[in-house]
Amino acid sequence: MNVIFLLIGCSLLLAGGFLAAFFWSVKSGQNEDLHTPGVRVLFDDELTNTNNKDND
Amino acid sequence: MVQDGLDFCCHGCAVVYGILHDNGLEKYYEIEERPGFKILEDIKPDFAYLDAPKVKETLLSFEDDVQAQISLELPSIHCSSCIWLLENLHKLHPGILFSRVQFLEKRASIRYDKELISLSELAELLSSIGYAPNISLERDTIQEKKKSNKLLLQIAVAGFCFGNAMIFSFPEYFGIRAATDGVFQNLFRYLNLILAVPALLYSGRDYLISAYKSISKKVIHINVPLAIGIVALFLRSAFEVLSGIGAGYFDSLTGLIFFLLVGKWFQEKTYEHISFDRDYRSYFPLAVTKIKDNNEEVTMLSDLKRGDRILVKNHELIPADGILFKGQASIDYAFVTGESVPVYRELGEVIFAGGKQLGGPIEIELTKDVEQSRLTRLWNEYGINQENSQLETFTNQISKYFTLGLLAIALSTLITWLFIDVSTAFFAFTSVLIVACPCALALSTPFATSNMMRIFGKNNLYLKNPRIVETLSKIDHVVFDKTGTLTKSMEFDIKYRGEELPIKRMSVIRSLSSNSNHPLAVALCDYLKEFEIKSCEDYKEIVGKGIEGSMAGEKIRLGSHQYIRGSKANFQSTHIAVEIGGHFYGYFFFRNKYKTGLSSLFQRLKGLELDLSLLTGDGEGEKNRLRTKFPLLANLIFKQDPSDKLEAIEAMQSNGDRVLMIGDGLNDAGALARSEVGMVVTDQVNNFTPAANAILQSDVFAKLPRFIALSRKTMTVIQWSFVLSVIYNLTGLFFAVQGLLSPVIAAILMPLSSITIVLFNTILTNRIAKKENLL
Repeated sequence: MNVIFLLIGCSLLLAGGFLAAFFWSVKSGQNEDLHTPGVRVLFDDELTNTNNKDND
Repeated sequence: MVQDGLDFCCHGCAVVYGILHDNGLEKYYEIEERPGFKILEDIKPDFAYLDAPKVKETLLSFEDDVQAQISLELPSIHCSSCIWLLENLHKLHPGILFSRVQFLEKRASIRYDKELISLSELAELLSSIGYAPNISLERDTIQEKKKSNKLLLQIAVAGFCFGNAMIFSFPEYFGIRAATDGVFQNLFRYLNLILAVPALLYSGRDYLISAYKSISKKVIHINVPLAIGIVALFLRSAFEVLSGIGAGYFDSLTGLIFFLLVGKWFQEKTYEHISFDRDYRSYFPLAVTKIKDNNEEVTMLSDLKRGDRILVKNHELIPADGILFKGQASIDYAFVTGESVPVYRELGEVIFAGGKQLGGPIEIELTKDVEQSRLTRLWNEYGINQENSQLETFTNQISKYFTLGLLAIALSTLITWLFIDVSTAFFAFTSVLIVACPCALALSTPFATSNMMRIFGKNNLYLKNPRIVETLSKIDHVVFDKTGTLTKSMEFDIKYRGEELPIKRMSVIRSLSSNSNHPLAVALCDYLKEFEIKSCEDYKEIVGKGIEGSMAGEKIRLGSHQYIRGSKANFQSTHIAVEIGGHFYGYFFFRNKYKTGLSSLFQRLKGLELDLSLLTGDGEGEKNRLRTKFPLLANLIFKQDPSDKLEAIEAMQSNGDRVLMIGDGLNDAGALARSEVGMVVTDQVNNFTPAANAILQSDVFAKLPRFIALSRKTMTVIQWSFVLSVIYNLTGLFFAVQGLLSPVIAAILMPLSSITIVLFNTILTNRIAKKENLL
């Protein structure tokens, strides 16, 4: 049963990691604009396509 | 019009296409079906002032020897094509290094190479493709953003602690022997204790601080009983764990904090992309052209002084009161008064700030500082930047009695138990404090009002924050502005008086007026639409006076009485005088058209037991027409300048009225800010509007009574959910006073009450909105 100590430690670390990741995302401004990146990601795909065509 | 085999709505759009085509950016037209904005006005704003070092300094967010970065408001951003185009600006000009769009805020941050492009060239480039930047004195407010970020982090921490504490509490609830024995039991209990500390001190900090503050001010706020509950929970649980007698209520504690913060987040949710706080600074230009020793010089608005002479070009704004020194002033005060017909001023006459010059450049000698002008004084002297007179909220009214009642029950429990069984007394006392914690009460208002705010938003009424729903429900007096609010801005009732005009003459009048884009000429042209338009020669427009031209050898003149007849008119009404071939015929009189459906609107507002008033800057000329047309508008007040309007609202409030002011122009700004709810009516939500609590799109004006009725019903829902939460609290108290409150009961009762209150409020507000056909 002593493995529970390890498991609980791991689960807390994992959850804490996610919490830290959330902190990082908020602090780095990912919550400031929730609309534009969603649109932008679509453009980038198409842009590389057209560039490829140009290269051909 | 057709270019490259493509059809364009106007010249402006075709020009934009040309620019994009030359730079290989036609993809703009593929992303959305109808990208682009119709470019209505063919005006090239002058951006030269942007290159003045002092102006640049205030605008640039970053600058070094080579590069500079700026964040610009581009009001025409409206679709994904816009994002694509603006983020590909570097293809249009090599000087642009990087651009990023913040879509909802309609802003773009642009980094550029200072050697290759100047700030004014950048602005010109943007306006040449239809995205003219809106540059004003007001700077971005970044502080508010940070606050809501902090709340997000607090929620994250509370959620983390809540989730883990709940898992560690399961063995206790289910009595799992292996996990509750010795070492494991203590492990889980101490882990919970450790998890509760950040939840209390980081996430719950604001509740503790605000409760402390309100006690030291001797006011009882809803946060006081909340803080008492939280602290009691923590101390009791910590005591149980440290002395080894129980598991404590850490899961309830962290859950409570988590739910409270989510409620708070809901309440703070606002329409971030709509500005409610615009004052004159966001409307006025950043810099103006000053004339000094016959030289033009760009001066920051803040550096302007009384006595300076400034140059105001076509479509530029007059920043301060002054005297017309040179040129022909034809000034559009639409944003100030809501009146779309420009006003003409002669040399030497006083010009008030806030209007836009139409026509050639004029020179004005300022007689007042910017801050002392008639319009801006409203902000500076009356201090209307302060919060509106806030009514005490229902929750706060209740929480006074609630807290006192709670303390009374808790103390009597303590005293009673001290006589029966001293060891139970402490537990029973803290149990009462814990279970009576009014979390359900604290959650009901945020969820009900923010859901209602969302429903209003779907119907094009945008509130500054959810609290306005409650304030709106308490309104008992509605005050309207006239021009632009009750009247349509570009439509007129036209009547002709004078010598009868033959049909041929009508056609001549229409032909001439079709050449001008003065609002009166446009209206006249539309009024005479059954007559034919023919071409006319020698067309001339004399700004502020009239138009003339000749047809079939006859000279036609249309314009003001003074222009046509040479003497001052002895009447005030808006008019166009007609002269054909040297013969004076008569006048067309123009009256603002009232919006349709106003009578039934007033009737329905009256049905809600609201007093109705009208405040207008106009003279009493319309009094009789208003009286007969709208008998329900009981109280008509005329000749109100902006500060009179504010004082009129104050007078109503001192009679105990709670006022909803509905206006549209800057001259209502004082009244809007001072009334309990200030509501701005506008055609376009993103247009400039004066500071207000609510923005109503003018096409849903008729729904106003329904919005007010609905806000009242929302308050009824909140009152019912209060009854519900009291039932929960009483159930909990039943166990608590007996000293029987086990962690399991607390763990079930607390989340259950929070969740049912949230559901109750959301579902009921949706239902009442459906009944009113607003959802």
